[in-house]
Amino acid sequence: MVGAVLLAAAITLAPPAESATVFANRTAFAEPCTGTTNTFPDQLARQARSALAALGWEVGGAVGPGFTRRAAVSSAASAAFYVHSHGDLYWDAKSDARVGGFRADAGLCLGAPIMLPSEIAAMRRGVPPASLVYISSCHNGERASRLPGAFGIAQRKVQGANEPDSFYVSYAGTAWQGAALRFERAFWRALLDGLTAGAAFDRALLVTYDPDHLSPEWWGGYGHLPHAPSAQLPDLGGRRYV
Amino acid sequence: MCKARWSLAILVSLVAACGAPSTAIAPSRAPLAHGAGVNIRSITTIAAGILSPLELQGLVARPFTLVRSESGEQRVRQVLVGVGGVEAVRVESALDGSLRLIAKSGVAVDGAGLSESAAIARALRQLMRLGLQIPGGGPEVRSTAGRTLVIWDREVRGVLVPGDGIRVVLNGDGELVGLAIEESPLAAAPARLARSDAALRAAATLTPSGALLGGKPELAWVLATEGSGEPVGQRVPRRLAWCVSGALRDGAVFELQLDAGSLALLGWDGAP
Repeated sequence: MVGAVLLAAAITLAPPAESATVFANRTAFAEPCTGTTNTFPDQLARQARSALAALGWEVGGAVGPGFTRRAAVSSAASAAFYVHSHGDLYWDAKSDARVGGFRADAGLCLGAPIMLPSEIAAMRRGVPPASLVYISSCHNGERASRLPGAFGIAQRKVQGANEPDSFYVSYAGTAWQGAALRFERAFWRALLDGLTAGAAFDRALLVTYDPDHLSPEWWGGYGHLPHAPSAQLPDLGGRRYV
Repeated sequence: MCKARWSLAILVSLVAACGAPSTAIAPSRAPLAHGAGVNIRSITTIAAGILSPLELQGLVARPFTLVRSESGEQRVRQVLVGVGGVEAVRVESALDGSLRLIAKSGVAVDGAGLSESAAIARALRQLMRLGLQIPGGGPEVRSTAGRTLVIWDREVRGVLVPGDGIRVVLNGDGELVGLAIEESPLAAAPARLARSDAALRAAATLTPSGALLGGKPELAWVLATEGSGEPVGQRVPRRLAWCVSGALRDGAVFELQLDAGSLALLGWDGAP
């Protein structure tokens, strides 16, 4: 019995090197909160889940009220992490600064709990830098956001020698969901076509999103291929060129 | 109609595939599928115009494929790959031969940065080099993630078609990262246009309490699909809509898109 508990604890605490997490806030954008039907969060999460699974990751997470602060904290050590939610340069009392972060769903229209970079950093202590982090929210693509650092990714664009095996994407300023859907769809498609993360980002810049509605940003290694480390490259019907 | 288009597409792909070089490229000005009644430009011709001789070395053309674009348009895709099979250049054309997309991979992320006028000049030079029509009017210039976007929006009868037009992406030194040309089909405009104040009133009935509608409604040709969960990636004609913007209680901004004639809700967009 004790052995089983210890084993379960060990499994729970082990760094999930092959795991990816996809969270999306549905409640804050749903009809009772906004007045109109909005399926953007589900569409965004679905395309992220499909792409990450195709890249070999074991995908967990939640869309809707199951995306709680607790669930986000317990998944913060994932090697690949996607979230779509409200984001801002939220105040962190511990560091006495505006540091970025995002809200959970928690079934609330307003005032849902906030995940701060320091909490993610604490959960990732001793864990290698994340392979792919996609924060689909406002403001976390700005220099002031400490989310990239929390996932172990420096705010640098590196191409060629000494590229990190990491890639972080988010948006500066206000990010509209319609534009994000188009940009992200193109980004995931390009990754599945075998492009590197940097080239996939470049490809997504070419789709028809409104630049007044979206200002994407990235940091990490341009040439990084964010598939699961032990995964076989997916069979993409000969479309993969690497 | 659909069958006829697919037959044409298959013919194009067959002719194109026969004309595709399978080894290191030798740039040629010859159109690919002229004999089939269409005139799709060869990727080798395009690559010769946008890559240096050094960059061209060792590139190999992959067989052509027929694809559907993000906007649902059927296209002929051509790809050049380099060492290790890494994609270097992609070109997509509509079935009538119109160039739709050129995308380079691995373009340097460093660069000095471009002024707005320099970016426009570079973008125009790229369009001219590729023999594309120079768009009228002044473009929008945006910098994002070390790249500069030069965008000529498409307008039809003085009304914006969001996302349509010509988009040129450059790096900080003015080198081409890619260009995209979109031209969506448009539905017939309503016989009778609703007034903008009526649109504002209709929007007010759709928004939750505490939300504020702001600004003057604006007309735009919108894709009535994204917010309501209808399928995407299909060639759906855009509809003329009144776009009404506002803010929710928590300050999050949103836009309602209402049919310009009936004022029925066509779509919703918002910013988290």
